[in-house]
Amino acid sequence: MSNVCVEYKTRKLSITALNHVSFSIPNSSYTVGIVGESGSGKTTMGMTMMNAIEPPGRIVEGNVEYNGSDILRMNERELRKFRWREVSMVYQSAMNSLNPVKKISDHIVEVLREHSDMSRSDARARAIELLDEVGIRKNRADDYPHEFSGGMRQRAVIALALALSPKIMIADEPTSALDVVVQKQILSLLRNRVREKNLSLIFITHEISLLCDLVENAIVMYRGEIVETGPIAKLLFDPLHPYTEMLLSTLLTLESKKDNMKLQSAREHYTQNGENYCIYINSCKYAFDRCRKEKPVLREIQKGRAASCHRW
Amino acid sequence: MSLITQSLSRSKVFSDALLSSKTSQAGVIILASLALLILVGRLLTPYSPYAVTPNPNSPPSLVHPFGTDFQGHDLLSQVIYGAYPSLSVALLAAIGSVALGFFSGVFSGYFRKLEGGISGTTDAVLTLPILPTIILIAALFEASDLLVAGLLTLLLWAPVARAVTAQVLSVKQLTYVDVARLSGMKDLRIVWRVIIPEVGPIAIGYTIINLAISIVLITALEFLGVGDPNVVSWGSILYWAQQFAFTAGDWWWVLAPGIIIALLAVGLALVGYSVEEALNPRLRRR
Amino acid sequence: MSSMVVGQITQAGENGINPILEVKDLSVHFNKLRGTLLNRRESIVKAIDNVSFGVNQTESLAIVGESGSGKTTLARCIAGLNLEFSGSIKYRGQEVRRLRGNRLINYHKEVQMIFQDPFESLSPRESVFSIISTPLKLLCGENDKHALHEKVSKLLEEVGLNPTAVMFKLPHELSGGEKQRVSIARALAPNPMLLIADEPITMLDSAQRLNILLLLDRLKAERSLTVIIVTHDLASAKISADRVIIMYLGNIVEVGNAGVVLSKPYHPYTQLVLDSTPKLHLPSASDKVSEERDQGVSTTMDEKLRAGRGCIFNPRCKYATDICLQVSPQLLEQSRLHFAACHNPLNKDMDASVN
Repeated sequence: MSNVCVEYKTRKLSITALNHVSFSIPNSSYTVGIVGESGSGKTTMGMTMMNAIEPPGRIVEGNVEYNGSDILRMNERELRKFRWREVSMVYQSAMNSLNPVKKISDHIVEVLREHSDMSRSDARARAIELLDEVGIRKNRADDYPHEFSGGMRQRAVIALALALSPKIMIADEPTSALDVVVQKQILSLLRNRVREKNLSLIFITHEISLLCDLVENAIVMYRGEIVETGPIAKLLFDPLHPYTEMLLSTLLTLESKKDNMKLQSAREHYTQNGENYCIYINSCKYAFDRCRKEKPVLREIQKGRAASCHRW
Repeated sequence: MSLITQSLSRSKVFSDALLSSKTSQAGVIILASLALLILVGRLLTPYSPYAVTPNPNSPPSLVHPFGTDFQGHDLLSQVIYGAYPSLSVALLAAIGSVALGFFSGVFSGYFRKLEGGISGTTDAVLTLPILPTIILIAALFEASDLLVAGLLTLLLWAPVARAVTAQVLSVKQLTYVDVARLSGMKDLRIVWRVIIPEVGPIAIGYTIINLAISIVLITALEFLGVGDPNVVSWGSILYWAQQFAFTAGDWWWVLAPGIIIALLAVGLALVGYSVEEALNPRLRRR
Repeated sequence: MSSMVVGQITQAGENGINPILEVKDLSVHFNKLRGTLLNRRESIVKAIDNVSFGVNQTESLAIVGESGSGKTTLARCIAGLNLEFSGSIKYRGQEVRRLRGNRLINYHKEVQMIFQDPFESLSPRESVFSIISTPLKLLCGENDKHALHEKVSKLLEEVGLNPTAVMFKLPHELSGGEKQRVSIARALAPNPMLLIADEPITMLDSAQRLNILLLLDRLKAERSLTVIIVTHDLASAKISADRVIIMYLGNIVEVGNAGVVLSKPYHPYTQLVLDSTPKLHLPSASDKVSEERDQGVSTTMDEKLRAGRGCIFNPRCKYATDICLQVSPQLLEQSRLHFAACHNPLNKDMDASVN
């Protein structure tokens, strides 16, 4: 993705979802987590990568290239080949968008037959295989979505996403609607499949602790901009950007002690994306003069780690 | 993206969707133009619809834009004035049916009393074919304006009640209804303050729809000869046209009311469709 | 459940015997139609199955459970929003199930609730002032304009909002955290003694979550409130509660001091959830993480049916023995003030050193 700007416009509001964002997957088997809160643009990132932005959203600037071709300029046919075969997506409500009158196995069979010339029996055999890989036993493959629990439906969705052996999988909050015990199962499943098949994984979430065992790199987003990138191991314990620092310090874990936790700045006011100041200015505890006059650029601070902050 | 949809209440989402959809805009423009024609035309037209002009059987011209019939009546004036008899009855029927439907919908949806009875009745009524029923009853009893208005109210109340009940049930689930209860509001007040504002726009949508449906049905009744054919109304124009237009060769006689009624039907269909559309996917996409 | 055990659970607070709320044999069931058109059967879904516990004055109690545990239904019953239950809920001796009309309205003066979704909790057409003054008018009978204005201002300040800035704003002009603060102000308006918070921070951003938890903590201290916080997140329960009740499929499986239960639990379910709660740690070097096959369970109803007569957790329990399949365990005091419903409780050998 280079220099992408996405905005959402209705009669009353105009919101910049992504502000000149650039991002790349340098090689295969590259796993990265995109962390951000509401309004950070993380979901928009995922949708942009699939060219799935719909009105009132609009990609205003920039381009997205995959293997040399610009996804944003593809026609319907090329896009269909691109989606599912090269890049596939698992999103939070996917488990609820399964067709209620189709058997789970048929969902996969259809996708297989649409995108390849497999015979019906071959496709069915492969579907059963794929479902088994995600932990759904053969005797349940012909059940309907409403007969499955949320966790099982999400497994089925993952099987669907893996059906055509894509190179990249984008997962947007796939476990947010699931209980914590089921979440752990799904994440283990995801991690193992990704590693076995040498996939690249882009995992979008608001919960940074989920990334610990799942991805190697992380990107932190705030109000439509990338504020920090780097290997997860470094980012979690030695954050560069004040926002990352804040995210980590307000994290509630089983080890947190109430007395150690301090009240955060209550100001959450919406800061307009401006060209002359840092986007985090209103909430940053380190802010100084330069931050109000000059917008910091996302640049490499240490080897493999970048941040957009004037402190470095 | 969620920031945008989440900040709007349900009824606002509904009215926004309704007002911004091209279908409803087109429908409203058509209906509004017709309304304008009828209301303003009455003041402007120089001829009384009953006045016999010295130009019978004349085709559309500058003097008579819709032509004249076999007795020399100016058809444009007839069309304009002709809306009124149907209009008053239709208005009565529309308001009556929406009021009845709205309140029974709120009652059965919120208080859940009589719910079985009300939904059973609406189901039964919805299965009745409207036109034949009206004709039957109007033929059996003397077809006064009031009777027709009453009949239409009883028939058109059902879809309103159904839509309102569904909406009330969904609004009832909203957290701020619980909050209203926790804040000390009694049921009646909750219905008035919280439920009705959310469901109100539906009533308005259905008023427009039922008004237009009623006009069409009343016109049909008049055309079939129910009611007094000597009073100028759209249906009666067609009634006389059916008898005499073809022999006299006055093709425009049928055209005049025909176009107007067709426009009305189209406007109605557009608005009705967009109300349905606004009620369903938009609200679900909250 | 015998009243002796209920009594014990009620006394299970550090503050001694001062129960403000007593729940006894509470059950809530819904009739559900299941099956296909030709094979309709009516089955009873027990959202809450025979639950008993007490809440002590000024304590902070967390009711923890996942989806299907019945925790939200329980909260609504206590709040007086759902009166269709069997069993008894006594608030200061008053039976909640029999409250009607004005007595129910007066109940809300003392028992209030805030909800999970900040967006849906506030009526979109009303200003902040209107939302907070409504309970003042209807529950406290305050009608004087100046007095209302003053009281609302004070409440807004108490929850950390600037009255002049926020007073006449509409909900959509506020952020999630601000909306939740308004809800808290609204709930505190009639000066309640018991506040129930149903997942109050689940839908908020990171910084706001911490702020709201700390706010609730401060308000509890300043107003001597009793707080019941319903949540699925063990971390926030551990941080904000004195005592915790763990629920599973409508039953209580464990009760005790929050710090103890959430580090050395007796019940395998509590242990399972503890293990699954995400922790911040350095990524492990291992190539493959252990994976669990899906249990093949589709709904909570099925889970309950599979349990049969035995412990409701036995289908998922790693430690289930024969007796677990036959006999449903009672909620028993396993060590001082720490109860669990399990035939083979975990971590029992730790007690020697703890006690």
